[in-house]
Amino acid sequence: MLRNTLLAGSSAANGSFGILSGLPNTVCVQCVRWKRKPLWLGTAKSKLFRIPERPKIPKDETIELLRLHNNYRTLVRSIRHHITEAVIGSQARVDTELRAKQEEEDFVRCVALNNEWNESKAKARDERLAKAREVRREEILRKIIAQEQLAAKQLENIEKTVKRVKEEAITFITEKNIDQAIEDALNNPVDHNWALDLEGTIHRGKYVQPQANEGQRQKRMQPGV
Amino acid sequence: MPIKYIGRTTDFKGKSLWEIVGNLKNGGIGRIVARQMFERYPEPSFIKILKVEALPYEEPRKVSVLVERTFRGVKFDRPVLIRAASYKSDYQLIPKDQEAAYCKVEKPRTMSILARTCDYPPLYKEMLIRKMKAKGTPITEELKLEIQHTTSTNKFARVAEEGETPTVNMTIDIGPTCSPRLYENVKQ
Repeated sequence: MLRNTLLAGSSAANGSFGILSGLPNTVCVQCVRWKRKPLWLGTAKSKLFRIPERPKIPKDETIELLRLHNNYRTLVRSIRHHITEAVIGSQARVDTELRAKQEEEDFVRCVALNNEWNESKAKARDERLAKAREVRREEILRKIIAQEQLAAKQLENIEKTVKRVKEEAITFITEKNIDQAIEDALNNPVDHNWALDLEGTIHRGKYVQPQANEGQRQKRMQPGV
Repeated sequence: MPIKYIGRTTDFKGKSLWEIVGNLKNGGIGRIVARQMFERYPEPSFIKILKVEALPYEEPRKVSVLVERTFRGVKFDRPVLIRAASYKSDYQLIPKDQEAAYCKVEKPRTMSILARTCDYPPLYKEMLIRKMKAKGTPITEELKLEIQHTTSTNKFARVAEEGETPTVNMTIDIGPTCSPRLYENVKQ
């Protein structure tokens, strides 16, 4: 930087420009990013003990300057206010009465239109609902008939079953004939130990039940023995 | 040996409030203290100390003092707390025998009546007249600019009522001056 500065100085002293002098670029570029010294650097050493002289303004001049400044500010404020008012006054304003009247008319029109729509919609709705009601009634009627038919069929079935059971009831084992039934069962033992062949012939058991087993079972089934 | 002051000069003259109340018996309650700065007004301005509270050492020059303030001969309705301005070395203790003389309000401050209107600036007035003429508005009376005064509750000035004669007029030119000396060499 120093060299560049010196070169620039020498070239300037010679009355020639950096480019024409045949030397490398001799222009000294110094960036000025801030115009003044930042405040946090404090007072410069050279100005540390400097005492600035206070301006001495005569008393009457101070009073006069204060008066003139006050007057100036008041008058400028007044003129500015006047101009602002004039501009606002010259702007197109909305006629509130007319606007309110228009809004009222528009409201009345809208209400009439709305009523008309409501009426037409109500008519359509009534028709639609009547139709739906009819369909629903038919549906319910159909269901009731189906229900009745089903109930009748079930009753018939029940009657049939009761009749069958009554017929069968004769063969039931009751308190009266239980002894007889036991007796019959004991006297007629049923042997299920048999097989079927493809022709449907029943082949009875090869061995008859052993006597000992039979005797034991009988013994076991007779109470008090 | 005469005292020689060095460094920057100041407009203050006196002690800080703590220097005064700290050296008085009972914190100087009931005593009268005046600011030298307010002695520029013709009416007396002073404070009467009501209550003193010392502050921690973070602010060594400050003190919290509740005072009854009189400014330009008008006593405040409520007591005022002086704390932020207590460090200013501009307070002077009024001796007890001078208190009555110092606090006496000889001539109370008068309410000034401010003018409602003044003239328009000449060129602007001409423009307004031309505009009105172009519009066809009849000009019946002289055009006057309505003055927009700043409003404040504690001002000894009010805007004149309708038809009242103001005591303070305002003109668009330099106006009446208290110091004609400054305009002696002005050539018209």
